[in-house]
Amino acid sequence: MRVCLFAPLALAPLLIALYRETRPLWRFLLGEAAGIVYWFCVCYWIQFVLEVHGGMGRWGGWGTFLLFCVAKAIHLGLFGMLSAVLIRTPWAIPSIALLWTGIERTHGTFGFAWLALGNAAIDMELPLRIAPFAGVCGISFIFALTSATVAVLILRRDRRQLWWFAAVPALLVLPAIPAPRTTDQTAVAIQPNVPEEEDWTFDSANRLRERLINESLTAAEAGHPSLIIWPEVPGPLYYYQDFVFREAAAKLARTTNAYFLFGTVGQTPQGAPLNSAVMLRPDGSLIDRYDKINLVPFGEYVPSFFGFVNRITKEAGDFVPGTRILTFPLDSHNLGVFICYESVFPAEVRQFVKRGANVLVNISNDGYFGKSAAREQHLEIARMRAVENRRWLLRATNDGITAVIDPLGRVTKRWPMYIDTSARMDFAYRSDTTFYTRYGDWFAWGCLIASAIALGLSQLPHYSPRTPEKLSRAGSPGHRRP
Amino acid sequence: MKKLPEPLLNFALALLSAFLLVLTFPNPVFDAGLPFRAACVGAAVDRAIS
Repeated sequence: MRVCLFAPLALAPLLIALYRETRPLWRFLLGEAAGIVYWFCVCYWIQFVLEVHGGMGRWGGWGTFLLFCVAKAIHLGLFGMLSAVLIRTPWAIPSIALLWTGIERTHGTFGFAWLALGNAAIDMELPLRIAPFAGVCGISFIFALTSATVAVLILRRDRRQLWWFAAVPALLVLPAIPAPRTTDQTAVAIQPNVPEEEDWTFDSANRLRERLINESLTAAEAGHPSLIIWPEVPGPLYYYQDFVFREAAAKLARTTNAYFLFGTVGQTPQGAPLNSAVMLRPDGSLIDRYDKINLVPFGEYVPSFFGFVNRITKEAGDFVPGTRILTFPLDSHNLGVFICYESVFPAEVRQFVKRGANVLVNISNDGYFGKSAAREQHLEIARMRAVENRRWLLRATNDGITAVIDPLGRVTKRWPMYIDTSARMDFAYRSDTTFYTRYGDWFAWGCLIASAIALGLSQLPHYSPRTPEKLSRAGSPGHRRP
Repeated sequence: MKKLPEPLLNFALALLSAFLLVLTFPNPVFDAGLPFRAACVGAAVDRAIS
């Protein structure tokens, strides 16, 4: 069950509780409690990742996951403590929305981001209009503003504040997102459905390579694509270390006369592993390699705060992050590739488009999430990147959800999960850029600064110098000693 | 009806917000295993009743 319409109201009960609570520590704890429940219920699949892929065992997985929830809930705890101050001010409605948006933006900065409140609007035409200007944070602002308005109404605060709610109908002034033109390009993506628990041997790795090559040849013969895509590395396919795979990849590109994009493991000059995407020209030569910049905590690296995990298990990843944003030339166009969890970072994805990407590709292996809601959540997050940057987005995954997303964020086609299949993806190139692509998270950071100013202003009355009126009150008979 | 103590009511309101946020997004009901488990529970209840 999923009810998107709760999004504009969801914060209202918390704000009412925060208004009723007078102790700062308890306000923090109310926010923290809400945050723990939220992260626990939405990201419950992290326990599976830690238990199965982190090798931490059931209880190690639960323990670390609970610690994770407590740590992530600190954001909501801080929101609770600070918004309780703001809700008593005459500018409660906008300042609470500013605070929510600013704090929400810091999730990615502090290591792990997932669903923003604004992601809930992916199927709502009106709030979505702000995404090409302010990104998903702009929608979060609108939803927080609506919740604050409801809270102020229920608490019967000053009705004049409700004028701030006029910002919501003002969205109608924003232009509707133009419908994408018809598709004229074709790509083929292979969804190999490789089990995560596979114990790889030399023979099974060879069989996987042969299977993927054969499926690609068959699909290319039927679809005549300009691009063949394999997902984020689903098995031991080492382009740089494995001469046989390197030759087979080049031959596939030549045979199909198509560009070939695939996930593999790269290496730094020091020999550290990189989660990479490599693209070949139709003549089989290497174009370049993109190395994943935002790695998955616990899956691909262990955050320093949780360093004890390394003492529990050796299975947590030891990948190092890439450092270079690049686009791959594809005929006279450019292609931007981001890997798996990087779809969560709007500020990174927009960089590909800013550097000329005419289409976006997200290669992923969501098999690590298990059979959980994480796949649908991940798809929803990726859809917002298409809207923010007004680009077609092709998702190629190991076992789902493989999909084509248009520049309006609509899924034009998706393929069933947990099956071995090939996907013919129709899309078009675009070269226009949105305000968000050009200027990024200006709105979210502006919200953080503005909320800090609002908090400062709310404290001014406590520190204002004594006015003559106050002095006379202090000196009134009621204040004199008997 | 007896009123909830103030701190408990505030706590309940905070949790209500959390659950509304959870329901806003694809949530555990999407879990592929859940319909199956729900069906198992349903079948067990049916057996118990009959």
